[in-house]
Amino acid sequence: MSTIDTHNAGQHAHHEGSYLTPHGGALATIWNWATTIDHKKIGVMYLFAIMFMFFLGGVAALGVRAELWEPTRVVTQVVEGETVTSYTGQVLVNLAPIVPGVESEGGISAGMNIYNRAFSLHGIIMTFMVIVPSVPASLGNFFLPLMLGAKDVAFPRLNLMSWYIYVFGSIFAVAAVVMGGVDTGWTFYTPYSTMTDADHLRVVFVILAAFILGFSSILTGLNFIVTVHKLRAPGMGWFDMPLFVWAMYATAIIQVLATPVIGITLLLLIFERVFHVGIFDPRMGGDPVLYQHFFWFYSHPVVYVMIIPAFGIINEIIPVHARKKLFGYRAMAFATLGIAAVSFLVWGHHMFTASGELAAMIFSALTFLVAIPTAIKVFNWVATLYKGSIAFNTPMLYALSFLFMFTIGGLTGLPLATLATDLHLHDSYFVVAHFHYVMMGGTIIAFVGGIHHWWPKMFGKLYNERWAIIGCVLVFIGFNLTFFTQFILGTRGMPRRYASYPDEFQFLHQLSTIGSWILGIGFLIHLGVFVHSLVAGRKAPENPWGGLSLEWETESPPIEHNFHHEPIVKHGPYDFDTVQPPHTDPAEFPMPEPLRPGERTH
Amino acid sequence: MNPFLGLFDSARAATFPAQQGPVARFIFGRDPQEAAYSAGVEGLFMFIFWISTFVFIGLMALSFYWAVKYRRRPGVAPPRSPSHNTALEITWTIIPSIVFISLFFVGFRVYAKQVIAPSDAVRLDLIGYRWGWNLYYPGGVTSTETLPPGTISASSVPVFMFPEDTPILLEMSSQDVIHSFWVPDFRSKMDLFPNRSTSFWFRTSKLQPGDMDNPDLGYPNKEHILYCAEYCGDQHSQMLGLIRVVPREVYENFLRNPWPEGISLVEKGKLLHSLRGCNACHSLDGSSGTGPTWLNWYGYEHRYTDGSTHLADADFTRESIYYPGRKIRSGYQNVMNSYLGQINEEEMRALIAFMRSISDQGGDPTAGFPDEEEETGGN
Repeated sequence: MSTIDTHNAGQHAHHEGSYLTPHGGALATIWNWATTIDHKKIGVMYLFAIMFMFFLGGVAALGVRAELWEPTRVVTQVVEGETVTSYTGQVLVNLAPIVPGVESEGGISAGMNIYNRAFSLHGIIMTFMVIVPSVPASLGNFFLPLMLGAKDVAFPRLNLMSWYIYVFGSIFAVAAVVMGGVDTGWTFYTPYSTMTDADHLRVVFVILAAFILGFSSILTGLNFIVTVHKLRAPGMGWFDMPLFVWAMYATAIIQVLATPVIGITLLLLIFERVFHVGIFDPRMGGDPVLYQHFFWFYSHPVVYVMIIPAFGIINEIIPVHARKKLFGYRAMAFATLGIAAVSFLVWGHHMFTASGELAAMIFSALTFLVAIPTAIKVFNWVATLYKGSIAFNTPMLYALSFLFMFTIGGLTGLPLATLATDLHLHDSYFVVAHFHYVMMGGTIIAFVGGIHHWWPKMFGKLYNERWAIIGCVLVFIGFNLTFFTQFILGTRGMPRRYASYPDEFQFLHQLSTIGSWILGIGFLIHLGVFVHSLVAGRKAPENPWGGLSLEWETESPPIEHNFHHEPIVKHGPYDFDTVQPPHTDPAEFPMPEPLRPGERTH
Repeated sequence: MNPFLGLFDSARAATFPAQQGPVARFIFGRDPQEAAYSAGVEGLFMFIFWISTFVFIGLMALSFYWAVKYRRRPGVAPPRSPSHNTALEITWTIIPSIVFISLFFVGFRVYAKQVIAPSDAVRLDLIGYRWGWNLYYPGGVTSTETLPPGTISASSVPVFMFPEDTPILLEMSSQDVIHSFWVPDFRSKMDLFPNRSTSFWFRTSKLQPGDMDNPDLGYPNKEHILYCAEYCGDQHSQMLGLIRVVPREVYENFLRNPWPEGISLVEKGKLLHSLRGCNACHSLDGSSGTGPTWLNWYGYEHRYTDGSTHLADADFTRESIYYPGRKIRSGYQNVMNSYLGQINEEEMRALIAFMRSISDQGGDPTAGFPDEEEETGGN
């Protein structure tokens, strides 16, 4: 009945320490972490780096929201070094020193420079340094081998290399920010991106950073594909894999196939800027729409690099915390692969207002094709709740929040996929709200839920459930207040990337800004909970939630080589109705009555 | 006509009458203002909205009900339940597919109305630039009115007049980067590119006696804000316009005599400074922007990047506007576009007169133009 031949550590001749056990003094430990090829340590380093980047991007977002508090609070002139608003003449907190270069440029555009740099910074950090790597690089790195019953990923050294590439790329991006930032938005649309700041290399630096970060994605993806193919534990067929692994697999395929395209595109952009080779800039004989095709050929599939891992996390959280076999496992696996495949064919839906009518028609039709497997997934999650045993703890509350917000995000995609309505909503706040509901309400919410779900396993410490729930509720309220208002702003006619706006939009903007503060407080509470857990958390048991996938077999935190013995898989990852989870007390996790002869559950 | 589409259209018409309901009014803030397709766009949005609301509330109610009903009770095992049901799964695959296919077809139908202009539409040229719009009426007439800074934007906003109850087709292109023409009241938009033409059409609505968006005008009018919807740099959020639908005779009077009664040459130049977007780069208060200020520019000698100095006289002003790349003022970039063919002789005279009026070396701005010679093209 057990998954592995034995999971009693007492039977082993030697006792192996946890992967967190320090090696020698502080310097030796740092050296050990810096040169580690242990997927768990690399995952943890990614996790903290991504949290730090999330904090940076979040501060930029709060700045953007603060600027939008007043409609005409447009900083339009720099008078004697002080930044003042255009009408009231009110002196703002001296923003100019934050953004070097602004002071010297001076004049009417200086203030809007600050706003444009802040939202670009937010978008670039959150996309390339947080959401794209978030789940695969941190939780994926840590749990993919554990869930497969492997000792490590297939290429551990390559894994370390992709971590350093990530750090290297991030340093480039941070350097560009320190040098004064860029105002291109995260999409780098030409010809604006080849014209702006012509005398500076900052735009080149940021593009180079995105290019470098792409290699990190490709290498991680390659590693995961080989790991899934080659390192599954004995007895684990493809349809015995946890769906989180399926999600990582689908994500990896997209990363490997799509990322080279953005690499080429960004390289061409650098060529155009530095060597003035005309590719995208019409003044040099190029075509700006070509850039949009290249960019979205990568960036649309990458939307699924961002959201499919979130699906994977939700597929783990809901069955474990509802103690219920996931509804429609195979449909889920095929839906994941289907989304990954169709994701390559829908890039044109970002260009309905730019491309020809025939192309718009084809891309609209293909876009609806993606909606079908997505809808199936949502139905499956809701059906999984039926007759479960649902625990209202932080991971589950995050999973339910995900269901709420992702469903809104998905449904609001429909008027954007529909040609006629998209012409109104394109590039408005409706789009901003839609992709935040998917990217943040989907990916980030699932990510935070996943961190709580696996926190006891990763660090061997429990977290404070009460405070984590308070944080979760604040995030839920703050998120919806921040972004639901933006749907209405968009339908009423508020364009995106606007530093100032007509007075009629002020009330909704202010609600949204208040929401951003609540959201910020919620995340700060989570940060406090994590720090408290690391410093003073109670020791976590091996299997606090009663999970059935292989990571719950080993110790918390896992030993250096993950398992004492190679696990042999004898049941599926969601067979909660037939298998007592490892390391659990039947009194705490009781099983349903055994089946009577001839009875079937499904 | 495809009977399926006809069926769908009549179902939609029955469900969502032309009158805007309270929910639609809340969502959109203002009635659709364009007469050919914008009500169709809004009706389609509301159709999707109601389907989505129904699905969302259903799913959430079910989740909430089950989550509470089957909440964990200590020591109680979960009941046995199915984890797979082929009939149910096929049903919830096919029904959304049908809905999505329908949405695609209806969306395409309304889209066709948005992008195919009637052949009798009035064609006008619209040029977008950082950060403003130039609309060229028949005979080279351009807009001569702006809203002062602070009305709906921090900058001044050009006013574009259109005759009521008329299909208008804008042939659009951009002078520099990508822009996008969005009038939320019309429920549609289209991008402008530097290397290709795009078009946008709409039918202005028929004015009713009560339509008085601007009561000071003394005749019925409707006003709609035009936004640039594609990020184009520093003052992207200042790239607004005001579309004013006016009675036909007002429009025709404007075409015959675009300038306000009795306007002086200097005042005309001041208007052009904001209408043609000079104000985006050239300030009037001495502060330095993307380009040099116009305050005390005329009549002074300035230094240029090639090391030369040059007196800013009428001839040099003309050269700088028509061939801005020839002489670049020290400390500035070569970013200005040529206005050759866009600023006619009369407008050039007005601009020069205005520059003279704000320079203490300008002399009498309304005096003749002694420096004015044939274009020498000298460098």
